[in-house]
Amino acid sequence: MSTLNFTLNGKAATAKAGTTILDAAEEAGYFIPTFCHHKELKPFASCFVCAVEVEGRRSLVPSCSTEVLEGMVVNTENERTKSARKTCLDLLLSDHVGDCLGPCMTSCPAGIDIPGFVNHIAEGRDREAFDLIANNMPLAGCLGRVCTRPCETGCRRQLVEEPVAICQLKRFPSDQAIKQGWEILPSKNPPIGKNVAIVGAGPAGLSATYYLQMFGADCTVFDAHEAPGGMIRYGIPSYRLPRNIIDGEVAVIEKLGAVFKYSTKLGVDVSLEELKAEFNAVFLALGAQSASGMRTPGDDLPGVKSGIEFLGAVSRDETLPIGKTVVVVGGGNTAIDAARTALRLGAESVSILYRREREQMPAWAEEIDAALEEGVKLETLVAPVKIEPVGDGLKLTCIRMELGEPDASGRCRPVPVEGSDFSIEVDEIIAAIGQNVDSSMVAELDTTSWGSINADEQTGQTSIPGVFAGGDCVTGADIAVNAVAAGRRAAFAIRQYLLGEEMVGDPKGYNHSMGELDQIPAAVTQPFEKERRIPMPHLEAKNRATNFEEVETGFTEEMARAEAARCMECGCRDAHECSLRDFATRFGAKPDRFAGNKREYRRDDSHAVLVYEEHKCIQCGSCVRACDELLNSSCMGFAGRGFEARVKPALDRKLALINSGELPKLVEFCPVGALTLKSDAVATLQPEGFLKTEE
Amino acid sequence: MEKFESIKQTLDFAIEREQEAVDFYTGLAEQSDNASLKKTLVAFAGVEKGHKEKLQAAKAGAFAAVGNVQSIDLKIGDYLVDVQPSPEMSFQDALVVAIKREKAAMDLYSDLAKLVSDSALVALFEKLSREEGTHKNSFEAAYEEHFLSEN
Ligand SMILES: Cc1cc2nc3c(=O)[nH]c(=O)nc-3n(C[C@H](O)[C@H](O)[C@H](O)COP(=O)(O)OP(=O)(O)OC[C@H]3O[C@@H](n4cnc5c(N)ncnc54)[C@H](O)[C@@H]3O)c2cc1C
Ligand code: SF4
Ligand code: SF4
Ligand code: SF4
Repeated sequence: MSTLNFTLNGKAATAKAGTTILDAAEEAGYFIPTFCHHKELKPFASCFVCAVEVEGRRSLVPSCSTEVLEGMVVNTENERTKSARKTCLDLLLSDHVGDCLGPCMTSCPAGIDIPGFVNHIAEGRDREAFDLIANNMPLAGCLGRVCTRPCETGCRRQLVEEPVAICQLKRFPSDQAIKQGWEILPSKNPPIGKNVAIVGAGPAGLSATYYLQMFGADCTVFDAHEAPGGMIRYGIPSYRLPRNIIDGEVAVIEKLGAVFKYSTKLGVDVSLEELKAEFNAVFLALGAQSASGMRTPGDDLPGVKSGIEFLGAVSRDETLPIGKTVVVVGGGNTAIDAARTALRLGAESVSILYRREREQMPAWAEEIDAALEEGVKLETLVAPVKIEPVGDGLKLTCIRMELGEPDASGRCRPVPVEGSDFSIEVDEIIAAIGQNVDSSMVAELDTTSWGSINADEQTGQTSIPGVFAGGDCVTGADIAVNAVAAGRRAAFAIRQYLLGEEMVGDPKGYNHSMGELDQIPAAVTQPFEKERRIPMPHLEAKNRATNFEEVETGFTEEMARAEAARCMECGCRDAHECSLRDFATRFGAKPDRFAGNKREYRRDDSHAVLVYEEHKCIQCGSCVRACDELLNSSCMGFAGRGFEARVKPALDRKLALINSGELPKLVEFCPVGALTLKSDAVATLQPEGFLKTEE
Repeated sequence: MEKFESIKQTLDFAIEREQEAVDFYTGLAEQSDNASLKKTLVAFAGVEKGHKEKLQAAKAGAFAAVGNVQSIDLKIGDYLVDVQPSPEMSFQDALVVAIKREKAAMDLYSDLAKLVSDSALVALFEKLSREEGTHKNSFEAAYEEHFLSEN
């Protein structure tokens, strides 16, 4: 066979006569996307994503069916071909209906594979569930107790009745780990010969350390406190998060080889300059440690303290003496924790004063309910204006508030009602009105006016190369799962930095979504019967309000299996193999460039081993041609024309009625998640995690 | 109230006060070693400079822009203790200082409005007072966002 000379992307190339441009380009190491081309099938040239430019031809040509000719000048990588590919993908995505990843998973800041681990639990594979969670979450036991559950707000199951108890299910495998005495040691990459200083052993710092150790770096963690956990130890009380849970999860990070140096304060015992000299990179996870002062007259009197000061002291000594009447000012988690803690220390009357109405309290509704059940009183639309000493106690003057007109953001702001002052006598006042970042010890870094460190959202890179930051010290006081996620992203970026690679953090692939809850076709939830969400078992208010025993006692095995079975396994079985998703990621395709009707949701799972989701079909015709050319059957066929065209089982039958043992083979020909095997459960299709824990 | 015989004189007085504020924040910023506080103070000086320019424009005839916005008075400043301005103060204290200064200006113009008799001047002082109130309210809104986030 003769050899042809041609030009490929500006370089001289050769190909045997009869070779397609697609094969010749692949041979030369270029990537050309295609959906409809399949080695075992005849060229079809229908999807057109493989189109390339041949000089002298007006239009682009499909590379899968155009043969190389002598002297041809071909461009497969220039702007024109790239833009044509993107347009093609944008069009395919514009009417595509499906979720690559479950909406719970995309709502979880840490990106935990929720449908995956929940399915493992439902089917009794607790150890696999543990490992899958550990891929994205080093503190599952801690976060399984205190996470504010952004994932549940995205959960589709609420269209049937209530969201799946994702967070409480996340706790279950870690409870099993303790009960069964599992040895947990995530696998580690070989050492990379680089060391990293982490400042702060809160959720952000612990998470970064966990991943960096696994990546083969040597971490030393510095913390001003005498023990690890940051605000989850010195803020969150032990009745919500027992300390042995934190200790157990930190022990795993120690086993990975991290060195912890406690009672060591950046800015006092060591400087950023010194850390930069001694370590290859620095990660700052300082949190938001300083409490906003009330700045009301008398706020410096003895008997007045901040919420975090109070909770920190109790964390060290749960027998601290307390006054009889305690007033907590504020409406966030800190205020609720301080009030419930004051009760447990023996205060007779504990009231929370809040400037706005209950609905506007930033604290979690369930926590507010729990506090009220235990006997905490809540006074809303009240603000303190003055504190004076009287006898052994304090006189607190307050003013009533009313909600003013909504401001530009639509939020009603509280305004004092003139002349509505009143006074009460109390023993202690705890101010929990907000926390901020103190970054004065790293003054060389670029910060916002209010002290938070400016850092890149994806990588944590600060204004000084090699110095990274994440968690509350960047966002301002926030929630633990966001800190864990920031630590993870920074660990990826720090590894890239240490290895001299491009710093991108942990980029996410393209995600197609069926949309918000109100956009979900009724057919999605129609097959599911109502099932009650299993409530978390907990101690009765009267048995818990006077001690520090853990309030929520955890799901039993039976409860966990039943709750996990409520999951509808949203997400696509093909998410990790799908060519449409892969190409959309590579070429930055967007689903909303072309507006138009979406495909109809049509799911056929009547077959024993196969599922056909017509709404995900891109009509590449591969399955139809495979039936025709290879399997000698007519089980799948085209129907209709143009925009109305569909690919469906012949004669519009249900798959179950097609009597062909060959049917499951079609899955190999489908480039997307339209034809999938039932055995490829969303969970079992997870790619090998980079951490496999060893028993 | 001889000092305030004309609109021009009054505006000159107000412009001078804004310049004083610019100098006040700039001076503190220069003395401060804390990078983020420095940045805050420079930003405050910039805000005051903007106020001054608005008044200068008013003097040149662009009156309508002064005191035309009605914003919600959160009265946060009414209940805060005074803070001694210093180059080492916290961001929270810097905001308290700014709120208190704007409140003082707002009160001053509102008092002056009661002292003059010329109706055009009364109207001008009221406008100026409203303008300072808007400045105060925007500092209070920032205070609320950053320091009363859980309150
Ligand atoms: C009372 C309270 C209740 C909360 N409840 C919840 C909840 O229910 N759910 C939830 O999701 N979130 C909750 N949060 C928020 C959550 O705890 C934080 O978002 C999270 O801990 C932030 O993690 P981080 O690692 O960024 O910072 P932190 O947890 O604050 O850790 C920072 C660490 O850095 C150390 N550090 C700071 N400065 C220095 C220095 N100069 N030198 C050395 N070490 C230093 C500190 O000692 C600390 O250990 C709560 C917070 C509080 C205060
Ligand atoms: S078929 Fe591909 S693009 Fe469509 S939902 Fe599944 S993974 Fe996403
Ligand atoms: S039903 Fe399951 S997969 Fe679907 S959103 Fe809820 S937890 Fe996620
Ligand atoms: S179902 Fe058939 S036509 Fe549709 S995308 Fe899959 S292989 Fe192509």
